[in-house]
Amino acid sequence: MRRIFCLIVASLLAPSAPVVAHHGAADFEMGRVVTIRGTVVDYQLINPHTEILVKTTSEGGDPVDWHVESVAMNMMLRVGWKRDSLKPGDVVSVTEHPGKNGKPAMLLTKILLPDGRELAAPYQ
Amino acid sequence: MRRPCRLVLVAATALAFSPCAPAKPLAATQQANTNDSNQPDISGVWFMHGNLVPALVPAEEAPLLPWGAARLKASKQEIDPELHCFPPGIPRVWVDPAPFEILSLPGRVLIYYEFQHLVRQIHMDRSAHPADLIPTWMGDSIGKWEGDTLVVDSTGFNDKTRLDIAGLPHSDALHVVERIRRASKDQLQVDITVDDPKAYAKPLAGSRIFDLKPGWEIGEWICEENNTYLGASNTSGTEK
Repeated sequence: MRRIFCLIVASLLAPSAPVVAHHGAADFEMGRVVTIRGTVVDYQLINPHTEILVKTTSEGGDPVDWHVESVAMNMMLRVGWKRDSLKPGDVVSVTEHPGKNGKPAMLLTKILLPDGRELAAPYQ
Repeated sequence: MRRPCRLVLVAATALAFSPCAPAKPLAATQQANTNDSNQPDISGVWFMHGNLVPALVPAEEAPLLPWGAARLKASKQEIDPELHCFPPGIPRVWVDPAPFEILSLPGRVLIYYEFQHLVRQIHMDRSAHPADLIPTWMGDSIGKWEGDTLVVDSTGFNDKTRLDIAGLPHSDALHVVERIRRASKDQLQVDITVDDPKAYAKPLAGSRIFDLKPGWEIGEWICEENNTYLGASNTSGTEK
């Protein structure tokens, strides 16, 4: 019963048609770069897309969760990323292309780690 | 007595700067690979040069016939088959951002793509496509060397793929010619001609550059994993 429930929920959450190919750069403002500073909440070094959740505080004092996206784990590993490159609680600066339509999503360009090292996205 | 010495000095100087220097040894790109003598070496792991370019050619260089235009319009209402882990087809596999490895075997060149761990066979030991090919996602590829260029001719495609990430359509009349050559020690150039008389008014011509990646190995990348387009099937069978 639980499996059927999960299937129904998953299908409701799945993106609905029409769906364009590969959602990469098309969802982000590639002509603009911003830098945010915040605290890592979650870090998933996975295929097909690495996901980092960074919590910041807005000017009004409200917490904002930024979904930072990058490319596949296989590519990240090749430019020096590791499974322990980030952990919850790390304070980082993230330079990225912001999401279109004001969504709190961003395409990673590079990240400044607490120890001063910098890691970059292998490509955009 | 002084004049002959001066002449010798002038002659020696001329020879030192002469273009008639001894021949240099063959560059790495010209050395034979281990399987076929006197053929260029395009082996290695390669990855796209620069950033992702979703379009094989600009839209204005892809003049669609009515069938093609209708197909393009219909495809915008469909889910990109790659998102459901179907193969990219040719030439889209060159556009998708993942490395590949070129290996030579007797009678075949293999291209092992990290993308969906596809292995593509380029048949070097035959010069014709089989009659009555059953259409496939990646087609049938035959190859031959023309000087330093591997010329690959592919046909026998189904019409289920897209030519590139931007979404250019094609029919089952698709015919692709790829000219693959090592432009320098560290770069591979792939010139692509797409001929589809059902979809386009004229052939399309695109080109891609790839960088050699010494030390890289093709890794595992499972399309079905963490795939939000596949619903509940993306957690590798683990019950939640």
